[in-house]
Amino acid sequence: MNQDPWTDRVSAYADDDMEAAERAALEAHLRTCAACRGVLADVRALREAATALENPPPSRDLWPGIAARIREDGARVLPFEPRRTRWTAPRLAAAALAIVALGSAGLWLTRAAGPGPAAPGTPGTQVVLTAALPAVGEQDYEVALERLERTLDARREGLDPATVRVIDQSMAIIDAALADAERALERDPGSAYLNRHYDATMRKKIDLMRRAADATRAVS
Amino acid sequence: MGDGPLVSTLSTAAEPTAAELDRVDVARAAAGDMAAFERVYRRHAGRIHGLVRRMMGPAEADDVTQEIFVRAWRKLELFRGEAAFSTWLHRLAVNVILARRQQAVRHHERFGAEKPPPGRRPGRRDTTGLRMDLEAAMARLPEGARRIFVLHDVEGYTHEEIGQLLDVAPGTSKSQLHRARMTLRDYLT
Repeated sequence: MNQDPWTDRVSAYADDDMEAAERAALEAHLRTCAACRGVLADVRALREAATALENPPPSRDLWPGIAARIREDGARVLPFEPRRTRWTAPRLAAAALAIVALGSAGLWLTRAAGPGPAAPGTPGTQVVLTAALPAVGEQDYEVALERLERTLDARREGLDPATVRVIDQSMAIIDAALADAERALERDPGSAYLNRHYDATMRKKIDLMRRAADATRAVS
Repeated sequence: MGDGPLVSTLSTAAEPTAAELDRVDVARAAAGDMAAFERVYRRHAGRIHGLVRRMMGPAEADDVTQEIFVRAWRKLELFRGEAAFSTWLHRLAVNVILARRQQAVRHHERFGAEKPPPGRRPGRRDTTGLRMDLEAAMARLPEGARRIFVLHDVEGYTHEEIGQLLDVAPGTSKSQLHRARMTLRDYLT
């Protein structure tokens, strides 16, 4: 065991973490103490070796497990937040207008792809909220939304007011549910149930907007 | 003449840096693009896995690395781009590792230094040999000393940063680091 009191200061010296006076004193000591010079050389070699350590990729591919956990985590909240903040009132209005552009909300929501006539009295709001939800490609959604906004800027005139009302009601119901879920999540952000509920509601909204985008493409 | 800098500029323009690739892919991943996040994972997996392996040992390295990337996905929208993404991810990784260790301590009531397991003493340095032996020697360090050595000497954190991460005084970090270095020196000679 080295009892030299300077030995304990060698690390600080090697890290350049020392006041000038102490540094000068240690340097004077180093000139006469081979043991401390040896410790200093070893500390420097250790530091050099530590910074040169390599980081090979894991021996097995961990991505499939990560991807699976992310997908399982489908009810996650945080990744959806940027989209949540982008859905401003003008965008929601644009989405409503997109649906209106079809002439009848009841028609496009109750008909898969068939060419049948519109059913003017169809309660569009309920259909929106109970429709089976296809998988929503999130990037597709973003693209569709952008396209939707552009297209409908030119279509505001001549829309059916009854359809506007139906769509507005649908959006209002979904937005109210989202607002409730957000308030609840602020109180209990870790709740799996609330996260799932929020996510499911958000997906309904995504679906509504996506259908609007698809429908807009169909009539343009 | 002056074509060195020009060539260098052109090659820089043709070959985006990892930080530039991160900027694009992180933005896409934050919008839900898993393919972009997979590219982020592949760029950073080695360093994060290495950090976990050195701080926690090989047995938990795969599982904890996966957890770190899952958490990163969940928190991507919190990344503001004020620091490099690699720095942000690294901090998140350290926090996950420390939280895991705290859980383990609570559950197993294991505190303080662990005795280095018996084994060979790696031979003394020549640079590549020292690097290879250093991995083995670090694994034998007591946990507290190992964490500080890895954070300071391998990962480049300052004592102040380590103090914040580990909730210890910077002076404690310095003395632990010195102890870790002296122990490693002992193992490696």
